[in-house]
Amino acid sequence: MNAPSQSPTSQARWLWPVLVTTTAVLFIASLKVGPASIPLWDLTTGNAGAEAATLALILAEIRLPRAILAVFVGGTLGLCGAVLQGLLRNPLAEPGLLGASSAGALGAVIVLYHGLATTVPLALPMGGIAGALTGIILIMFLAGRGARPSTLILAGVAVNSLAGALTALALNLAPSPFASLEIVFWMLGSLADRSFDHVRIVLPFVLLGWPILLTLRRPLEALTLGEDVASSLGFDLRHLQLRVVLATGLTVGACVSVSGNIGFVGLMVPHLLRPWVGHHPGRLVAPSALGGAALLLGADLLTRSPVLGQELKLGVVTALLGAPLFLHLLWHLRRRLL
Amino acid sequence: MSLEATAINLAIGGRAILIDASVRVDTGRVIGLLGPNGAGKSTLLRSLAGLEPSVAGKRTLDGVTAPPRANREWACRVAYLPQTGDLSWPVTVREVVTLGRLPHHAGPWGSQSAQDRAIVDLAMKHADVTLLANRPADALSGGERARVMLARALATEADYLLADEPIAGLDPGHQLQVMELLRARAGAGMGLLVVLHDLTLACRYCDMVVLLQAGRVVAQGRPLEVLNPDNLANVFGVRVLAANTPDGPIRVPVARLPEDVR
Amino acid sequence: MRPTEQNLSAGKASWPAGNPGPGTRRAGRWLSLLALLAAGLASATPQRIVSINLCADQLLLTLLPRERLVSVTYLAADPTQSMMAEQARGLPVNHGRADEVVRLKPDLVVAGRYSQTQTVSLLRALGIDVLELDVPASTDQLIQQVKDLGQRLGVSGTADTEIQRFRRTLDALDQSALPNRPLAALYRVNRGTEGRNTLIGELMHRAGMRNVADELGVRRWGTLPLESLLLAQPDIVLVEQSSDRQPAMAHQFLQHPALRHLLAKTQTAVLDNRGWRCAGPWLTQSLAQLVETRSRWSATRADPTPVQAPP
Repeated sequence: MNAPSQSPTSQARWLWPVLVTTTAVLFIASLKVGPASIPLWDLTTGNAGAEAATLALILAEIRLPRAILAVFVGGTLGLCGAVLQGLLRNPLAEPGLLGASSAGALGAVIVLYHGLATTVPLALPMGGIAGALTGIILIMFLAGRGARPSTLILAGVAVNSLAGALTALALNLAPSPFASLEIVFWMLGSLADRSFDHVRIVLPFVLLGWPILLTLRRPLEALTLGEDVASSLGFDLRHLQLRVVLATGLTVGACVSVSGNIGFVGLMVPHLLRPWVGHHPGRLVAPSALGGAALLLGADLLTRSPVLGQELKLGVVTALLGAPLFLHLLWHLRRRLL
Repeated sequence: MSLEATAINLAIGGRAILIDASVRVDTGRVIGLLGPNGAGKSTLLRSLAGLEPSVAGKRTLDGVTAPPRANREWACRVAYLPQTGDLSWPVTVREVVTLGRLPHHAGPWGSQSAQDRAIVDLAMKHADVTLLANRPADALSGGERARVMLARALATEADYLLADEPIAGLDPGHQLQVMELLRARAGAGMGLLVVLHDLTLACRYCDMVVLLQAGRVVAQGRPLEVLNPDNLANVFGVRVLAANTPDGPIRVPVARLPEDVR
Repeated sequence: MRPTEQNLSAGKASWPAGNPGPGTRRAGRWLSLLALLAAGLASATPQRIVSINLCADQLLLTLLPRERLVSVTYLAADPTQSMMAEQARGLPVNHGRADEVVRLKPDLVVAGRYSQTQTVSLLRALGIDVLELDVPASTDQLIQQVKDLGQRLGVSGTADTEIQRFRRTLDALDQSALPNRPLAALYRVNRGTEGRNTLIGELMHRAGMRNVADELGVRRWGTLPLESLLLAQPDIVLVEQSSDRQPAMAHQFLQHPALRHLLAKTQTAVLDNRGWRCAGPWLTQSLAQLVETRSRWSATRADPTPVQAPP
């Protein structure tokens, strides 16, 4: 951590090439690896043999949408983590810990299990977005900018437990007998056997939200020196907060409505990348999108590991990776927290 | 050329913080803003800087009405240096100073030009932090940090600088150093409004002082005239030792006065 | 009720060891005679029966005279959940909670083994007799379960009639000896599948099918990832659908384009989950559906020769 912050250029030159390569390699691995190893090259050259049609179907309809969703969902979580941390000037801020994800899952659950999703087009992502927006607005209201890390985390605990309880309640009241068993999906998330239908659900909101998040670089930089300095440098912080809340709600809500709640990505990615951008909150934003995509592609590959036999839930892998990091961060922040 | 606030009124939670307060900063001058704790010095500074949203009164910049909130154009003309040197992330000193260039670029990306880098170098030179450029800004001493924050404010190349207690918490040597740096900026044509508590430094480095008490301006003018023993007794409730030495005037508080004498 | 009939049903020596009853046939006869006597004198045979499990509901509705069933679960009367909604209509319903059950003052409560352990231990602590029904993993275990239940409830005659009919139908439908066994994939709600060591796995075997789950090494229950299903290139896909038609993730998986693609070119049977979720004599209907699906598959095969020596 010291080496990069001492260097005069403060942004590692190799960061982008490494991130792009890692994401690309993991994306291709994600197409290739699974119950069937798909010979991508043979398939494109027409040498895949008798199973070609099946393998092509698996590639096009199962692996490809799954990998694309991993990029969208992971990218969204990484991006929102970096932006929320910059806005709230708090390394613990992220959609999962703040409760935006679980509130989004609640919204999606209400819409899906009570029949709206089948009758109203786009009701599912809209439910997720409404939930995520409610969650993040509640957080801003309870803690908001300038709150101490402990206040923010406590507010997140409150929103998370409320959303979790209401999700369980909504599933219990749902008419479907399968609803209460499916709580695992909503709490831990999964990308297994998702299709292009789900990609189509997420895509418009990612296209809407990502550009907003990716252009917040300069106000987030200004916030390095606190809110007064940022305001005095000509940035309207209410406007900034509005954009962050809106874009986070749109992207996180839509993603959670197809993938369930996948935790810790927004915490891990900015934390791991921060030293390599000279701890610069603005320059952290764009790499966090790629880092999130790479992390979720990798985590999703782990869920398919043959060592485990049955597929693991995605949130289990991200929590196993993320929770120790969370503890590490808490340890280092404990003076500021108390 | 001047930055001016006229008849500023501001109440927070029903309590009046500023009452008809007026202050004027001319280019090339250092104006000291003095007063007891809670007199409204910081609030007046923030109001002038466009950081207090619910302020009544008139603010003008070179005779033109100022925008209610600091915007990008305003930020290029008026710099604000808060008392707390808040730093959220351990970026380098050069990065911190470069933040001063933000208002000079429109759009979401705005990369630095060679000219920006030159201005940042100059600001670091003026604040005497050139040697710290590549150090993480969270690992500095108080004096270093104060100068880094000053360099950031200077890097905006603003015509006016509003500085809130820039020497609070510094040792005497660093206090003199920062005051000299501010004086030098005024010499280069900048207008400065500086909140101070040190009466002697106010006498020596300010062209004018404004004395604030309970939200009102009670006196303003040349330092030696305003900071007379009567005013100081009334406003601060202290008896001062006032003298002229070969090195300049001094005002040293020596005793608290009982309530009835003030 | 004719208690002598119970001896006729003992059949082959396929009963798992360690179970009471059939192993000692003569003693069993005397015991049941004694039981009848006792029932007349002091009601040792439980008269007021409460079921707190849907599968128990349906077994009890099959075996018991209606007046002895004090209460069944609310699911039993729900036509989207229960095979026997008609029979359950009018019976008082419960939601499987201890407080509801205690008020009914039952002689015996029948519960599921794995899902209701807290309720069961609470009821037992309150001095209520509880019988826990296991999930049978084979037709033999199912037969044993029905038999035990019949004895416990003093309706061995009815139980044995059911068992005999069940056995006869099983034997009549059995296709396990046929060559050319098609490869079948069971795709239950929420991507579930079952292997050889389950009741459904056995029924698939009896219907003359090979099971994709067996080839994937799933011995009992597991998840069948869609791509494993596609890769297996099954001849038959058995898709379980829920008759409730209420929105849930469970049904979303059935709308996956890749699955639809597979179903469009493969022999498919839609299994009504009411007939599959619980083990009971009604599983003969489910087996009949599997057999019918298998013969549809044979009929559509290009090669008409019915018998082909396996390689």
